[in-house]
Amino acid sequence: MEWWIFSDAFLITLFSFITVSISLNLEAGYTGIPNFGKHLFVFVGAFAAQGVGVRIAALIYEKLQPQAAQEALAQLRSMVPGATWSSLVHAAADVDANRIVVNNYLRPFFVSHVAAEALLLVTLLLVTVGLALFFGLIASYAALRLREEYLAILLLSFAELMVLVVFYQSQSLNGGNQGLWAITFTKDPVRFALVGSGVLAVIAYFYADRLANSPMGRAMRAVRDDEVAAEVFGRDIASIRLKVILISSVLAGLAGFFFIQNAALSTSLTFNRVIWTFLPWAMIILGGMANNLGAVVGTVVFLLAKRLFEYYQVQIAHLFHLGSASIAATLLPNIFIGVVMILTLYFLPQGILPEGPSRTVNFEEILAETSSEAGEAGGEESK
Amino acid sequence: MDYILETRGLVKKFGELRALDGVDIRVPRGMVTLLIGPNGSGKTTFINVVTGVYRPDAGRIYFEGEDITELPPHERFRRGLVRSFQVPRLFTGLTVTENTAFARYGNPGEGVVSGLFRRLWEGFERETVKKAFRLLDFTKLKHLWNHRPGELSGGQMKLLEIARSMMPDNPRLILMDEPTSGVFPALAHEIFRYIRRLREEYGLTFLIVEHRLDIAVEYADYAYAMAWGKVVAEGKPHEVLEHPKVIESYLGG
Repeated sequence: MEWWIFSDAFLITLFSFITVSISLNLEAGYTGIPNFGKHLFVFVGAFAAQGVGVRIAALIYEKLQPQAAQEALAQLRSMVPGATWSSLVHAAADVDANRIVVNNYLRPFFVSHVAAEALLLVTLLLVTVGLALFFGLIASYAALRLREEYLAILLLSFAELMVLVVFYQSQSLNGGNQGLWAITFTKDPVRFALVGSGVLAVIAYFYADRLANSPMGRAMRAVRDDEVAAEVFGRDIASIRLKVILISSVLAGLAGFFFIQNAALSTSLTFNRVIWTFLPWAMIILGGMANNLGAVVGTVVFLLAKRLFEYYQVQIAHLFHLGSASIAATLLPNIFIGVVMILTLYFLPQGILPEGPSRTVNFEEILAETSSEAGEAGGEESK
Repeated sequence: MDYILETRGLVKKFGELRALDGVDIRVPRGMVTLLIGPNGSGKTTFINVVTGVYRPDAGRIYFEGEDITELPPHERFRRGLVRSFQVPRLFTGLTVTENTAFARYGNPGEGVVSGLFRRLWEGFERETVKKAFRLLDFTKLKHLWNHRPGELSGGQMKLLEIARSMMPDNPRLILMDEPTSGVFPALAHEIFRYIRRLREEYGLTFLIVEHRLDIAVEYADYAYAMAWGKVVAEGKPHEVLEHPKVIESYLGG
């Protein structure tokens, strides 16, 4: 699809960010967990489709198609001498070998075998969930022991350590600095990414909205506001924080999984702190912390504005008498975003849509009921 | 006599300062006990140590005969130990109604999965909100039900603290830290009358830290007086008030 500013890539980005913003809002907005390592949790989904996905797909392929696997191996030995099947399935051997394995052998096989493809998809989604839970547990270990600023810095450093050092430097995990081709699904992976990320965004929104308007939403906000008081009133704040981190990590991981379907070849740096942590923070601050609709609105407004600015970059540069290729012109969108953020924080410190109460039940109705009861009781006493 | 709470040799140090210096306090069951003493005598520290907000440096705490010294605050609450704060610790982002409703523990909807299924918790929640409105009515806060604590006056925040501490289902001992400071006298009397009523009707036990002795004394059954982190007197409220050590500590000995 391509209409005005709305390309497939833009919509996939938009849907993925909506999920990530909602997930970050559950942690930061509702529960007060300053997750500055969000990019790691989005990357986890990409890793499931890349480093883990290619290995699992190759294993299944080798089992089901041993002859074709041998054939592929022979072809690849000419590129990477002494290669074995297991070394070729990831870019440890060579990024070209990885491309050939994924695009010439694995993808055609799985696309034409629906059952195998469905099995692979379910497996990789489970892997995404598993990895998200694993990293979520690590993050929550810190979250239960550290206060705000320390936790924010620790999560940021931890995510950077993983994304920048471990996954970027080690060739064998996820192709290191050369990157890996992800396992993509269906004949039309872009469409798959579009539908997948769209459905996920809708699910994430309705999940978060129901949760926010349940007693759990109220408990999360209470823990955020005063953890001592929440504890004194019987809440196990460690357990509440843990659950929220795990759920949010899974949502972010799934967003990464569908996003990478459209960005097949990428390194871990695709999921850098600016794009996948700071921007979602900016989006939820813009839209309104602890407001799910706010997170969506913030994300949409933010990305639309950014996209429009990029789309009309040349015209805008012309308007300001800047050469269209100058550095100033390419920086215009960023300058614009900075200005918008400052204005938002100044004029709408609570964001476009401020936090509201958790609408668990119809308060007005119960208020009216209790008022009439009290009125009757009062009348009796006065007799 | 039967005691619901008992502390033995409780010590809490803040650097060089011994805020609690070997405190033995026994709270008789089913009574309203006062804890008095000048500022800085360790009353609030005592409440904080008993409810688990602070860890004691020495000594043990027994609640219903069970040693709760090592239990986290939420476990103590679940055993029936409820408190209010002297300086209100309200949830600033929650409305007055929500602040009160949250204090009722045990909502089946407080889970990342169960929260999604309204029918699991709607009944409990309706009851909770009803109870919250009744308490807000009692504390004259009902008209502010949809406001945030930030929009309340200091006295109203105190009242919300009180409403909150009366919200839990099965409290056994309610610790109140200066419930009537900043509250106008007529309402202060009403709060104490309500405390008496809860004691009479439900057999609840209260330990109340209070400075407004003129009001509090007539509603209390027993009293402890603290000074410099130690218990200096105990007995009937009127006797404790006239105890020479208490008078001395209040006048600044």
